[in-house]
Order: sequence, then structure tokens, then C-alpha cells
Amino acid sequence: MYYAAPVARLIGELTKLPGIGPKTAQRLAFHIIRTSREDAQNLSEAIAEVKDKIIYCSTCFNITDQDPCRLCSDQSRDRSIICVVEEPKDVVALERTRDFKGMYHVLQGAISPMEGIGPDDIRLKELLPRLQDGSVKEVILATDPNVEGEATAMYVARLVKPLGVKVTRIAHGLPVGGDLEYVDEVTLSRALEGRREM
Amino acid sequence: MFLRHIRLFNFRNYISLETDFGPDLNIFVGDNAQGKTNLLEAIYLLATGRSYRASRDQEFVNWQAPGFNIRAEINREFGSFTLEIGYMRDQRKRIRVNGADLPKLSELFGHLNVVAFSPEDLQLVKGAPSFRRRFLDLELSQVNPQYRHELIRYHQILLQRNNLLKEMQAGRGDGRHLDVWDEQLAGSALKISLLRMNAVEKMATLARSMQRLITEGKEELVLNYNPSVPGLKEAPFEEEPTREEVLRGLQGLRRLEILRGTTLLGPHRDELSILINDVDARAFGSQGQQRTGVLALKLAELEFMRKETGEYPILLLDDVMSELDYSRRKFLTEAIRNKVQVFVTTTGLYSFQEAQLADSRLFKIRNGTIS
Repeated sequence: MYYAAPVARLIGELTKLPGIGPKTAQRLAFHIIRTSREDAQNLSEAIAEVKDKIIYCSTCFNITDQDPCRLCSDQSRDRSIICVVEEPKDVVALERTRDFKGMYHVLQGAISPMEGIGPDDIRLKELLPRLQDGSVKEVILATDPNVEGEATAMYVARLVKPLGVKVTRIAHGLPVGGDLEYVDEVTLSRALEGRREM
Repeated sequence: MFLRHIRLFNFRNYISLETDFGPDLNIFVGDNAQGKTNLLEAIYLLATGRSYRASRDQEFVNWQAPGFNIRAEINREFGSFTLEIGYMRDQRKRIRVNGADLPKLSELFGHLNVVAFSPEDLQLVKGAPSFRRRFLDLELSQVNPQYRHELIRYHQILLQRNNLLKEMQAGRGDGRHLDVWDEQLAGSALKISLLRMNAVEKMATLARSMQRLITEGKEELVLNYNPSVPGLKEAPFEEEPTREEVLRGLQGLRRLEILRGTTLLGPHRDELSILINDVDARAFGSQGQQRTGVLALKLAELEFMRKETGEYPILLLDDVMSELDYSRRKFLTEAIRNKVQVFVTTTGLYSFQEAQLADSRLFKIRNGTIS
């Protein structure tokens, strides 16, 4: 090894991060070495704090520092509607719209046999008890529009429909603010399929 | 479609090359192992993002260089544009159209359309069914963006479903979500098989008349697309009932699929069969019939692509002139003359007629240079 043991260790740990290869890890490590002791301390404390304080909400399984999470305990939100998403970052994306005032359910993944992820490996069975008392009228499926997301949405729909709850899937289609001529053919034909009467 | 200009950097044995091409026949002549085929390969790569000689990207790079770059100027009916492929060792290929990066390699299709014809294409008639499926996939991917999108999706679904079946075969898998994968597969399989079937129908008419013309009416070529989905062939245009049929078909195969750990129904199991004078050309066709069949198929492909896109694709002929006899050669050159831009590799000019050579451009290839 060319580096002193502490440097090598840091590089080794950084390499484990997603999207970080050996060269980037090396660059980050040297940046940390050059940075002030205070900044480095802040970084390591932030990492430790996240691990200590972040838990999963026992209702919606979003990441949170209190249980139930802020969204689940917010009494002003509409409890008759649950939006099912794959990841916590999808909740953030939907919250940014400020249009959705209902509740969430974070699956923490999608069904993917290739990665050995089946229905029991995501937070799916935890969704069903939330639908038992009849207060939820609609479940919106907002999983990703790829093969795994579609399969997951279909699976959830099959579980939920027999409970008499309305199940909807978010629309696929055109980006807002763009010109029709720049949209790729596949998106455009999906948008045509999902057209609405005016 | 007209490839007007090309520039190669460190592509195979070309360190640096820049040249203009003619709109009709372009002949690359030279001894073996000088780089004739590499030039065709570069053009093919611009069209499809891959090689017709199965290769890894690394193999395209000149052994002394860290990466390669190919740039071409192309004239089409709607205007001209530049197309560029760059690759650096251990990175992904990058594609630029008029200098702007394309986000996905699959979006390269449709910019420059090609039909390639090399001696290995004899496999199209006498090889395994997978050759003919690949032929259809490549042809349709070039003319139909929906098709290439659906094909990528289909392969993802297939991969996931096969993984699940393998797990179930080993007694581990959780079969509850197999139904969901069935649904996904059924919808996608149906779209692909239908698009292929419609294309084959159009191709069949074209190929049949080509075969008749080449053989002066002695040989009758029939193309049949045989989908593995039951009932699809009989009722191709009513999607809903046949979707149910795909699902029923999968239900019927379920035990066998789990036993084998793989998906047994769908376009990856479909067959394009080629009959010449009512017999299966793959098993019973003579060498001559098979050759004529391939030629008829390639010419049908040219016409099909023109019908679909409004323009002839570029034709790449890799060492096929010497493989064809005089009459087939003559037919081929007549069929494409003054319509299609052609790139031909050859070791000698004896297989060309005077008149052809008159409207062609000749490129003498020697050790990675052109003179």
C-alpha cells in the first residue's frame, strides 16, 4: 500500500459509497486531509448523528427523527388517501409539488427478482393494516415508471382492490413547459394513450 | 441517405483518416488485413452503436491509443447533420448529434440507417432462429422508435421473470408475484410479436418478388412469422383477446417453466421461417437457393426501410461480391444502382463491370491509409 494506514482506510471506506470509484475516493480523501479539523469533525458527526437519530416511521416507513413522522402526525392532512412510493426521496419530490395533501406509504424498494427482492422484502404487508378500518378511500400508486416499478404497482393493486379501496396509478406523459416537437416518440405515445376528455 | 464525409481517429488500424465519399458506389479495394472491413465497421457502428463482428468496445481502439473517435457528416432529406461516436478506455461510448450529447446509446438508432451484407449473413437462411430474430430486431429498431423502446423493456421483463423462475426452480422463489410478471410480459410480448408480424408481412411480398426476379421465376420464396403465442397469428389485430391468450398460454406452461427455470413463450421464442418452393430453406435449400434467399432478404430489407422512413438506407457489402455468381452480382448492382449509397470491400476489381466502375469512387486501402 502506498498510503499511510489511516489514509488508506479513509479511501477504502469512501470507495464503498455508491457512485464513488477509487479515483474519486482518493480525491475526497485528500480534500478531507486538507480541510480544517472543524469541518472534518462536522462531517463525521453528521454521519454519526444520521445513524443514531434517523429511524423509520412505524406508520408510513419514511425516514424520520420522530415516530410517527411529521407527515403522519400532521392532523391537517387528508387521511382518506395514501400515496405509495418506492423511496423517501419520492416523498420529497411529491411534497415539493405542494399539491398532494394526503398520506404516504414508502415501500423502501420495488419488486425485482434479479436483486432477490420479492413482496416480503419491501414494506408492503405494512400497507394492508392501514386500509382495514375503511377510512382510506383511495390508494395512489406512484412507483417509478420502469419495469420494476410497474410490476410493483400491479402487485399492490391486486392486493388492495379486493379490500374495496379505489386504486389509481399516476399518469405518464409530457413534461410541462416544453414544446411537443421536442418530446421523444415513446413518451408522446404514452401521453396519447393516457389522454383525457375535456 | 448519404454519408458525405467521415473522420476516424485511432479506430482499429486507422490512426487518423479523413475522406469524402461519393453518393453512389464506393469501393474499398486492397489486400487482406489492410483495413477495408474496419471502414465498413466504423460506418456500421455509427448506425447501430455496435459491430456486426461481435466485439467489445475496447477492441475498436487502436492499440497505441487510449480511445477512438468517429465523426461523419450525413445528408438526409430533411437536412444534413454530424454524427459522432467517441470512446475512452473503461468508459461508456458517447454519441453526439450536431455536437450535442445523446443521453442513451439506444437513441442513436434511426439517425443513420444501414443494411449490412457479409458472407456470415448466409446464417440468415441456414442458421439458428436467433439469427433471423436479430435480423428483424435490428431492422425494426432502425425504423421504429416504439419498437426499440419496447424491445429494451421486454428484455428487462424477461430477465426479471427468468430470475424469478430460476429461484422457483431451486425451490426458493416466492411465486406470488409471478402473475404480475406474466402480465408485464404478456403486454410487451404481444406488442413486439405484432410489430414483427406486420413487418414480415410487408417484407414477404418484397422478398418474394426479388427471388422471382433473380431466378427468372423459378423460385418462390415465402416468409412466415410463427409467433410462440397461441392464437396470435389468427387474430393479430385484436389486442385484448390475445393478451388473455398470452396469459393463458403462460398458465399452461407454468409447471414446465418452473421446471426449466426460464420463460418459454414470447418473441424470444418466435421463429421466422423461410420457404423456397414450399420446402424449408434452412434444412433443405441448396447452397445456391440459400444464397439467393439471403440476397432477396437484404434487398427486401432495403425496400422495406425505404417504405418505412421515406429514404433508402446505406448499403454495406463486406466481401460479398466474390461470394455471388455473375448473374446474382448483376442483379444486385442493377437493383441498387443510382438509388442507394453503397460501400463495398473487395480484393480485386474483376467482379465489377466497366459501367459500374465509371460512376464509382475507388479507395485503395493500404495499412490503414487511403490513396
